[in-house]
Formats: sequence, C-alpha cells, structure tokens
Amino acid sequence: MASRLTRRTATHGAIALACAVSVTTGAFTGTGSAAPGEPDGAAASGRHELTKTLATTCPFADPVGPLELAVKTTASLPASMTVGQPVTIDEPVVTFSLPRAAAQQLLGTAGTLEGGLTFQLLLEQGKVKDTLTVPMTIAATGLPAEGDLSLVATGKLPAFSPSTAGVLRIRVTAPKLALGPTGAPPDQPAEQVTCTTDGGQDLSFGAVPVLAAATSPAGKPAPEKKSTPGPRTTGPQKHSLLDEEPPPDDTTTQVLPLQPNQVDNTSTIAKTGAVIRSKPAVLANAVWFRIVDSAGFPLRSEVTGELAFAPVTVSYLGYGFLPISATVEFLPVDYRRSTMIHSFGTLFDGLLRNHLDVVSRLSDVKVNGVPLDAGPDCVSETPMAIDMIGEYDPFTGGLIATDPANPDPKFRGFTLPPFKNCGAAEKLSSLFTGQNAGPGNQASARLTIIPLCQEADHRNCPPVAPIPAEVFRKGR
Amino acid sequence: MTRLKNLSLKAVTTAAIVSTLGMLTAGVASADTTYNAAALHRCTFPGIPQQDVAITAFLTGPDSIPVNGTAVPTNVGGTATISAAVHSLLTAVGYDGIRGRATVPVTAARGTVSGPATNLNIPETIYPAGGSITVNIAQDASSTVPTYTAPATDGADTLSLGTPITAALQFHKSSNNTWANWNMTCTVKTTSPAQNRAFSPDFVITP
Repeated sequence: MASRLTRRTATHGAIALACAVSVTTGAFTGTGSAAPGEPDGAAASGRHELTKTLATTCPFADPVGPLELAVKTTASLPASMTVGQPVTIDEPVVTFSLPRAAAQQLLGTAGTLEGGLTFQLLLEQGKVKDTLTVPMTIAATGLPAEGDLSLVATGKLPAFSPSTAGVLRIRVTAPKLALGPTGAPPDQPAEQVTCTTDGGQDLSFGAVPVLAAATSPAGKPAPEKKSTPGPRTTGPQKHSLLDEEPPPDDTTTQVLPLQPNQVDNTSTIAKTGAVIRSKPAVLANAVWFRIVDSAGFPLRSEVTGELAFAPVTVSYLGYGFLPISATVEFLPVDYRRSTMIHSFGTLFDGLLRNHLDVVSRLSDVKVNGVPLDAGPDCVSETPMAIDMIGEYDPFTGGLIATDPANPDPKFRGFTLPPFKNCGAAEKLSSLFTGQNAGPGNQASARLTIIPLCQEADHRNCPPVAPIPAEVFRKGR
Repeated sequence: MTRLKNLSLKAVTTAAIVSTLGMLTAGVASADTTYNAAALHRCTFPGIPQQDVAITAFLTGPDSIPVNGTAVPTNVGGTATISAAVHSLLTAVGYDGIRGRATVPVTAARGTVSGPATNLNIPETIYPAGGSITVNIAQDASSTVPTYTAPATDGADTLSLGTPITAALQFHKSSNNTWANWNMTCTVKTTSPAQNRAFSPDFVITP
C-alpha cells in the first residue's frame, strides 16, 4: 500500500497525518524506548519534554547586521501515539538571546520589542514526509538593565491523528523572525529575517512510536478531529499623534500619484469555510509617499488609497449541513457617512504590507431558503483589521495575502468580530456571531494596474474594466 | 535601491552638403561643431502617470553646409534626467537599473531630415539609490542616424527636437536579476510660452 502523510484541516493550519499504511511493528511500546531526540527528563504523565538548540545565523539588515543566535526549541510530546487517536504537541516554546547592542538597535526609542516567528517541524514516518509550520508569538519584552535580551516565543499547535503505525521522527528547522519595537507606527513594520542553521548540525527533535489501533480496522479513516484554534492574531498597532516626533529638518518628502489598481479580493471564513469572492474593485486616489533622511535612507515609504467593494452573495453550510446564503459587504469604518475604505500600506524593496480596517455587514440572509430578516444594520461590533503582505510590481501588479505561516502574527489571518444589531423581528446577533466570528480567517487581493489613456483622443484608448455601479451606491 | 537615470537623448544632427560630391569636402571642410538642444518632456512610467523628464540632445556636424548639400551627423546623443521622486519609487518597488534603445525625431526648419535617429543606445546601468538619475543615450554601431539635406538657398537653418521621443526600455529588478520591458513615450511638456526645442547654434548654409 502506498504511504502518505496528508493534512486534514478544519481550518487553515490544522494538520493531520493521514494513513495509507497499516504497519504494526509493536516495537515501540515502552514510553522510555521512544524519543531518541534530546529528552530533557523522564517522561511524565506519558509525555516527553524535548529540547533542541540550533546554532543559527540570522541576517538582520544594517545597522544590526547578521547575528549568530542559539535558538532553543522545547515542546512536550506524547511518549507514544495510537493510530487514529488525536494527539497534541504541547507547550511549544522557542527562546533565544538577542545581543544587547542588536536589541538596542531594534528598539530605537521604544521600551519593548515584540513580534513573532515561525519554524517548521519536519515529520517523517518511514518514506512518508510532511512539514508542519508552527506560528509563534513573542510578547512585548523590555531590555534588562544589563546583558542581552532574552526573548520567548509561545504558541499552540493543532491536534493531529497519526494513521500509520511506525516511528514518527521529528526534526526542527531554524526560525523566521519578525521583530520590531512595541507601538511602532504602521509605516515601520517589524523586520522579517529568515535564519539558517549553521552547517553540520543534527536537526533531530524527537521520535515517537505510533502504535496500531487495536479497535480501528486498517484503512478506516481516523475520526475527524476539530483543530485547535491557532494563536490569536494581534490587532493593528495603534499610534498616537502625540507619540510621533516631527520629522527632522534634513528629511526630504516625495509624493507621487499612482495609477488606479483593480483589486480582486477573496476572503475565507474559518468557521464556515465560506469563500467571499468580491467583485472587481478599484483602488483609487492612490498616492505613494516617501520620506528620506539626508543620506537618502528611506524613513517612510507608504502607499495609501481609497477602495470600495460591491456587496456579494455568499452561500455556505451552517454547522456543516444547513444551507445558508447572505449578502456580505465590506464597508469603511465610518460606513454610515462614507463608502470608501481607506487602504494603507508600506512599500520597501517591492514588498507591500497592506492594512485595511473594514466593517462587515450581513443582509438578505436565507436559511434553507427561508428569508431571515437580519435588519438594516447587522454589522460587526468593531472593524476588523486585515493585514496582507506580498510583492507588488508596477509592471505586473501584485498579489498580497494573509499567510498562516508568516512569522509576524498580524499577517497570519484576520479576526471576524462578533455581530451586533442583527435581526428585525428576533435577535440574531448571537446566532451570526456563533456561526462566523472568530480568528484565523484568510484574505488575499490581486492588484492589477489599470492602464491610463495616454492618447490625446480618448477614443483611441482601449476600454478598461469598468468600476461596478454598486461601488458608487450610497451607504445605507 | 533603484535609480532611474536620465535618458540621454542624443540629438540627431545632419550636416549639410553643397552637392553630392561635395558632401565630404565642402560640407565638412571646416571644423566640426557641436549642436545642443534641451526641452522638458512628459514621459510614461510603469504604475504612475506621466512624469517630467528633462531631456538634452547633442550632435556633431560641420560648421557649415553648402546649399542642397547633405550631411550625416556624428556623435549623436543626449541625456534624460529622471526626478528623485520617480527614482525613489522605482527603488521602493525593487528596480535599480535601466537599459534600452531610443528613437529621437528631428526636424529642420528649411532643409529636410530623412527620418528619426533610431536605435540609439541606452547602456545598461545600475544606479545607486537616492537622488535624481541621468540616463545617457549614445549613438553606436547599430544606431541609424538620418541624413540632413540643406535648403536650396543659403543662410541659416534650424534643427529641432521632434516629438514624441520613444524608448524601448528594460528596468532591472535586483531581487531576481530580471529585466522588465517598458515602452516609454515622451512628449514635449506644454508650457506657455512654448519651449524652444531648437538645436543651437543654427546650421550655416553657404552658397
């Protein structure tokens, strides 16, 4: 039989080891016989505490420069697993020490550093291999009075169910880091660094025997396991005007208008699996804004614009079986008085980090074909912050998206807040909240530059994609 | 970081000749002269509306040309200065170099020019970040330079930059070392009064 490891996800990021092999060795029945990695101590309550320290090189940009970091990864693994039974890798923690000088460079005038990281667990069971990306969050940490800055990243892993008996070997990779000062304005995103392991190291993290399930017939699919929610993403960094120092006199400000971009947006709601494909929208009034210091070093490089999405009808299965359709709108924060969503992004070296604050409104809800009056103002209680990242090119446009594997937590997905004011005849806010609200939702947006007419006679210009009429409709 | 250099436009000059046979003798008998022109243009760039580009042009021709004579200019070239803001934007989106070929039309007030100067070389150049950039344009072996035919009466003749100036450019993306194509079109910026696009000095047409 062919062997393979497949991912089984209820939401993005959840994984499972899917089986095709029914190998029963019986060779790994003792808890002490497993885990040939670096167990920190004896198994307690049937689990192993594993530790791995890797020597890595992390190429921070100047003035910090490349750093050699000893990255320690710990986690708790079960002493053994059983085919078809859900297991977890608990309490994953990654720690490393940032040299004091480097920490001071990254801090600037801020008091604490924060961010996140991702690393990969390389899973191998015989010839079957899979990779699990682990997102972690680094809480705000201040520089001690003396010495280096110790940073601790924590997170959670979704449960998975091995379905093949044998030995599951686990290796660990060097992390991708995203570190920045706490409270930094959106135009100063956390620096992202991909660390590499120094050569010749053993990456083994541990090994766990997977026992054959006595009660599960071979080949029978393992029971579905609801994934553990991923780490909650942090909201956008709010900044106060009072905290912003006026730019020094030796800076130079440059401003250029940008051509309009067509925006094709897709959002996926984790709880329902509903996919919201917005009609083509237009990013208008786009401006690129940049401030450089006297040496020409860019202090800020921002792209702003205005955006509007037409309402779309979305169909999905509530609770996995109930046909539901609804009209979904993404609206500006001030949706009662405006129709355009403010788009803010930073642009460095072709990498666009974009931020949107939008209110979601539901209407025209039908459950199993029966209209359910959601009322005229069934909206999310608070705006949802959507942070996307990706390459942008003036020749070809770009694709920006959330990424569950991004080292910076804010790019791993967006949180849909609870709904309010829902229901004309009956209160429906709780129902809609329970069905939809929560973290881990994903979004992507393809940007396509709309060519401008350069002809003196506009009739010589080719037609461009029209802006949907709904975009211009007045807010209700 | 990417800089956009000036597109140097080499002005296309035509030397005059008195007669067909006199072209290489009478027309170029005296020392060569460098003729210069300059004008602010509006040029197309990727992702942004047209931008100002300061274009200069030069060519080398004979001091004087006999009536009805012909001449083919040499050392045709020029510059194009791209603003610091546009250069910075190109840097921000990951582009740091430029290369390509330019076509520059030239007109004569009294005489005739056989066509535009084509395939003028914009040599591959990677620019450091910051500030405006000057792109050089120069005649090379693959360039085609038009022939100038002097008018039938002596006196002076004025050559001018024509419009539009076009360039088949490639921009260099530093992250993956690739080149992106861009057809740039530059039209003379409308001003009041209109810009003087003439080469200086005038051509001297001798009897």
